Amino acid sequence: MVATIEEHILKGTNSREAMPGREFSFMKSVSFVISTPYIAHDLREFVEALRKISLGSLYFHVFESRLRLGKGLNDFTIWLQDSLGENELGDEIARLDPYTYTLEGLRSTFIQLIERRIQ
Amino acid sequence: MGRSTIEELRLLTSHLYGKIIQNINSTYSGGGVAEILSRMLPLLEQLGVDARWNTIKGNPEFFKITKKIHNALHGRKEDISEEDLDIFLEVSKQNINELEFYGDIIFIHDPQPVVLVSKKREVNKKWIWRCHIDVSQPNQMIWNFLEPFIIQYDAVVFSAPSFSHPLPIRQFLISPSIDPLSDKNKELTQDTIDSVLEKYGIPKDKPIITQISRFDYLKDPLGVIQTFEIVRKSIDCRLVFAGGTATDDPESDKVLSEVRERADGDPFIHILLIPPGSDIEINALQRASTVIVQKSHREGFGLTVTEALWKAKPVVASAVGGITLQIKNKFTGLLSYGIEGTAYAIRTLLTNPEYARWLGQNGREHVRYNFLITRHIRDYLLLFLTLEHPDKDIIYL
Repeated sequence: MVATIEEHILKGTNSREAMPGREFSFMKSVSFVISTPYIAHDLREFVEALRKISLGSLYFHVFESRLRLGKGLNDFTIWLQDSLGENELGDEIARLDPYTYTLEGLRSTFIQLIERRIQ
Repeated sequence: MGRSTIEELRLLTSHLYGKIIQNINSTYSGGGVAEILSRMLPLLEQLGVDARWNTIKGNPEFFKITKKIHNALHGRKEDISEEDLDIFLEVSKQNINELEFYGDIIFIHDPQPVVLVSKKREVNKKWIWRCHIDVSQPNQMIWNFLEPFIIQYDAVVFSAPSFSHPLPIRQFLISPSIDPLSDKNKELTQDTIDSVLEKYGIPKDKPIITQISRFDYLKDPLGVIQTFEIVRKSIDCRLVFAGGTATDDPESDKVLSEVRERADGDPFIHILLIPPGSDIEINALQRASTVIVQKSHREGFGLTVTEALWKAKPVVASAVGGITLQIKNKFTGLLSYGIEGTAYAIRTLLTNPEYARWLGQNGREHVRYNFLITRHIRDYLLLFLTLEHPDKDIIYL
């Protein structure tokens, strides 16, 4: 990233400056990981929990997991495949691009996929 | 707000069982800090957190000096003498002697009580300084004076990234919030809105441009009137400038009289001094507005902007302080620069009602996800828990 930006600067074509109040602020985060009361043993319990968990929990298992696991995978796919043998369902969830959904949209899509499998 | 939000808060509070959070500021009424604390403490109590609230005491001279310090931290040129600083320290010392520091976490709000941290060595406990104001470009003399106190805290909290300073202590970014169920923000009937307009003699015959803010130079009330005069050259409209005063702001009477003088004789400018506690009236004035303006020179966060966005109103606001967190330009409102720029933005909204409506709806959703009191409480709970785990970036509870 640094090399690309430096190369761009060296071309000398961009001397624009952000307007006051619209600068880029570099941040650092502190993450909290907390157990929730929701535990699933099967698909039915899983989909019920999915309806109740917070968006923070959804974010943790879908987005944060991609960085934590380092394989671009999410926790749900791994559990569905490793613990329930639901390989196809796990793949369907893994194939979704979570960045194109809102968190609520993602929750609804997961629920629909799982409900279809249960039926 | 769903059940999961409450459950999440309860999970966090369970880790704070037995701890007392002692909030200390300078006033129980007037201004954003008192408003937030008065709404937040009952909710924390319902969640099982023992959060309490004390205020420091000071004579008018002390508050005149703290107002000057406040302005200087906002970057305004102020004449603060050595004697002023001595009085500030002396009154702070009296408060240190009179106050009981019983909290496990002592949560100090704003610069007026900042010196209380001098007691830290004696009482120990965890100390947090919550700075609600815009210190992005402070008067260096006054910042240098306060910094030795600030760095004694365990952590400092700012409302916007640009307020951060190089300090040897941990700094956190936490935005303030509004309570959607409070009198100032709850839904109102059209009858209530109309009765407030009638009470203040504001006809509904033209679009209404409103700024709600204290009578404070930093809110640029004279600039708002100048802006309105430019807008009115091409669009028939009214200006409502409504605000109150706070017990810790001795300057507001002077500003109010200047504003009244400037607006004198113009039947389309309504300058309203709203008494403390008139939350329904503020709510009604915001809801009756066509466009809401916040033309501040500096702004700690700008809760009046949050309130306006929550009411799905199109907002034009200066790109200062925490306003840029709320107004994503051309998506949740319009950011403006200067009098001409603000006038142009207002005219754009008045002549494009569909665009104005779209901005307003986006603004409301932005507030729903980022600036409601439940998010604020969660951030504070996480802050308190962070103090138990210094130097960790990932905390497993």
